[in-house]
Amino acid sequence: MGVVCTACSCLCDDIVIKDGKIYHACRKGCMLLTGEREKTRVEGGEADVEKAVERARELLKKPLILGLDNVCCEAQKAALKLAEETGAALVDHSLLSGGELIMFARELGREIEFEKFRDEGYLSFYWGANPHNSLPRHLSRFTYYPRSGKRQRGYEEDRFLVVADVRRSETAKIAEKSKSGLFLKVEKDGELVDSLLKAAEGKAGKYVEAARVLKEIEKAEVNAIFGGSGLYWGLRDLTKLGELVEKLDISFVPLTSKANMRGFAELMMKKAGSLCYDFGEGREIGLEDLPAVFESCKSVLVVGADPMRTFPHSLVEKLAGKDVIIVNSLKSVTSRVIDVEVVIATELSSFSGGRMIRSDGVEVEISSQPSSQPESLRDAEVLEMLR
Amino acid sequence: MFEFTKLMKFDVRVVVAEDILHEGDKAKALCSRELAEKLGVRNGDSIRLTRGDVSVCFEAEVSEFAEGVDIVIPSGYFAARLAGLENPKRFEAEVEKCDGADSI
Repeated sequence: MGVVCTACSCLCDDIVIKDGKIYHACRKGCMLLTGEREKTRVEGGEADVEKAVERARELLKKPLILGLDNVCCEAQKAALKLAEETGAALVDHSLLSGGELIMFARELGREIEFEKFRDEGYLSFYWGANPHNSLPRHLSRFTYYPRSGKRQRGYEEDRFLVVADVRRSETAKIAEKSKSGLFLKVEKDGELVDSLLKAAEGKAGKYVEAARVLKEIEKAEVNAIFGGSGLYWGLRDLTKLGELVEKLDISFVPLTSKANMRGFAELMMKKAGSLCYDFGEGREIGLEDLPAVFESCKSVLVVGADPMRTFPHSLVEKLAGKDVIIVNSLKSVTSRVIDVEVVIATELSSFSGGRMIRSDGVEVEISSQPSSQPESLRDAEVLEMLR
Repeated sequence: MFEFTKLMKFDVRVVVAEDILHEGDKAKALCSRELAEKLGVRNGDSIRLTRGDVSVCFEAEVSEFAEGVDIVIPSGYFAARLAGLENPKRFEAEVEKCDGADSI
């Protein structure tokens, strides 16, 4: 069994590492697997894990637990328990990117497993997503290029690619250049939804290509829209998109680039009923609550994330002067540019073993692998020690 | 020679996108050909994007992948400096030429 790459939510399980070389991984995967590892530190000086954990426990007062989208389900569960015990606010990236689409897909109940789509799928419709960069092997493993199951003639005859985006992205270029592809350059995503709904009623809308999309959808039973964060931020209100998916009778899968955002969303919906939750105040956290949550915490525990890269700085600035504890396997911009009290180096999720949930809702088992840093603990173990 | 294009400012549409090639310690941005011609920018020149009271200087690369919008900036540290909560993926900003790009 190969190594599971946790660089994005494709969770490719065919990665082979042999004699120091990495086979089958994309550029993003190689960057993750060869990335510079973090070292356990307390106030800038190297330290052992026990000392770092002890110091972190002293600092954890009314904390904000941040990140968690790139760690295994076991670590997410441990973080949830820690949040319940310390009255922490638990915030991941889902409010900024992908969370609403995951909720939408769960409610709609029209998801399709990537493997089923690989074997039977005809039309893949990437909307507000550029998998060429965010999920680099998605097209080749699951949607457009594979010759598999009922689709042995691959992209030449057995697949159709539609890309809707505000710009001509790399994926859009593939669709534009291919005879079995179509690029829809949209100004406003809502207008494309309207055009597709009108086309389904035999009327013409702003985008005349909508009729062609419908014609292609009629050619096969298994088709899917893969919605990226651009789709959510373009629409904001997903009601009409739901109507469209029902009317066209196609599948909808949210595309999130964070490896286990789906796992965190599933856990939080089950335990707290919302994507992010403040266990101290006992209320759910929405996007508009984030500034107050960042402001009011006394310390920050960052788990498997790099907030200086992924959260708007207008938010991160509110953490100035607070005690910051980082639990991470790779060196991050955050640990480079701000004063961090404690850094606890952990094993990379790809080697540590555990479970993750892919963006289509399928659970992926990650087997533990021999590591180049055998002394590192797993994220879940460190979070258990912090309780 | 006096470069009058340095005095020009435009409102531009900016998209934040994952871009593994261009994300790094130096701020880089993809510019559409249309904007590059309007602003007089070539590959390697620097542009300053201003949104509210935040400015970031990027090294420009004229790219077909910015066609449709004006500027594409790779998600990461520099995009996070400009992005707001109301829409961290797509926003409007002001662009002008400048000397040198920011780095971490």
